[in-house]
Amino acid sequence: MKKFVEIYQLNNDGTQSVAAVCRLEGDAVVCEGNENLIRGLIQEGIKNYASREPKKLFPKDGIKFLEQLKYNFKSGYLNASDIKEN
Amino acid sequence: MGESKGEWREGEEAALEIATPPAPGAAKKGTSYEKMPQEEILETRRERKTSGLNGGINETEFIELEDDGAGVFKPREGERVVRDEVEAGTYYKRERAAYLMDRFLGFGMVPPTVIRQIKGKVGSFQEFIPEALNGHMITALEYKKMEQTEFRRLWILDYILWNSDRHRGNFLYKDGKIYAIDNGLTFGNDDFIPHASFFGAEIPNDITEKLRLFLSWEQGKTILRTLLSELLSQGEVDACLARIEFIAGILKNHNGVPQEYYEELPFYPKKLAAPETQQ
Repeated sequence: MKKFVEIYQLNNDGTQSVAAVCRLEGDAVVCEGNENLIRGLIQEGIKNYASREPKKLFPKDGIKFLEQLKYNFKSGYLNASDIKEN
Repeated sequence: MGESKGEWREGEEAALEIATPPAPGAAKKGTSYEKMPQEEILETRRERKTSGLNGGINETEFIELEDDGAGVFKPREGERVVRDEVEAGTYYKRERAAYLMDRFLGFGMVPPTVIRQIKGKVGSFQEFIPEALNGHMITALEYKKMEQTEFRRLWILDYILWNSDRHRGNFLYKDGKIYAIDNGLTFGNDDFIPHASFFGAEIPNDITEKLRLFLSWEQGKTILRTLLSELLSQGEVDACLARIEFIAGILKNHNGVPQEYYEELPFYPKKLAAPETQQ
């Protein structure tokens, strides 16, 4: 069973499409999908809402990164799913 | 209304209406608040289609309105605890308060946002920006283009809003302009970590001028205080208005925010006088 998170992009007609999928591969996360989005996740990282430290999380942080995606992507324009397994 | 406890009470909606009578003058030099046409649309047009959106820690819905128009709806009951200092159940009010603050300052960064009841649920309803790119999706070149102006404007706005949640996931980019979205974690006495690289950088003059104009508009400050007081606690309103005076004082004297303020940008500046420049 592999853990993964889908990031949904809101389209102009109100539908959502999958912009990226981030999968836990061993100790790190590998993301596939929209090139700019993936680059941003890798280079800029995401905010860690579970910590008061300003330190960001990156795909190399593995499950912590995956867990925090839905807190970072919650605007409606880009929403991240809960952790799924397949 | 006083303290925002996150409870929707009978008559609260009416109170919001009373404080925002449709009258000419608006966020210009008038004596009462005039809604933007987009606010009227968001508040009054019937929903044509509602789409619950997957994902995100909080509940979000895309709402299409009759006769054109759409928005992102965030119901109060779908809010989850994200930060201890900003109570879940109050985010929707903070979204509206952030819009009002932005509008009165004339920054033009927060899309029109109202509080509305849709299918029995109360929440914030913000104008949808079609064809916009999420901050995570913009290129390094686009990012660089906006560093000198739009991001510095957003930086100042976020200090005033005390936004503890600005990151690439909650701004949009379209046609060279930044839209500040996802403003639910604002105004509360939360950890605010300002973006370090703008300390010491020049802040565009129009920002300083907008702050000066707002501060010289006594009636506007009164109107805004009344509007914000229906959405936030009194302490949060007082602190926010004090921050405007504080940051305006710094910008007036320095054309930017000196590095020395990195550890000292206060939530509630009690003493408003910023140090005079020695130049």
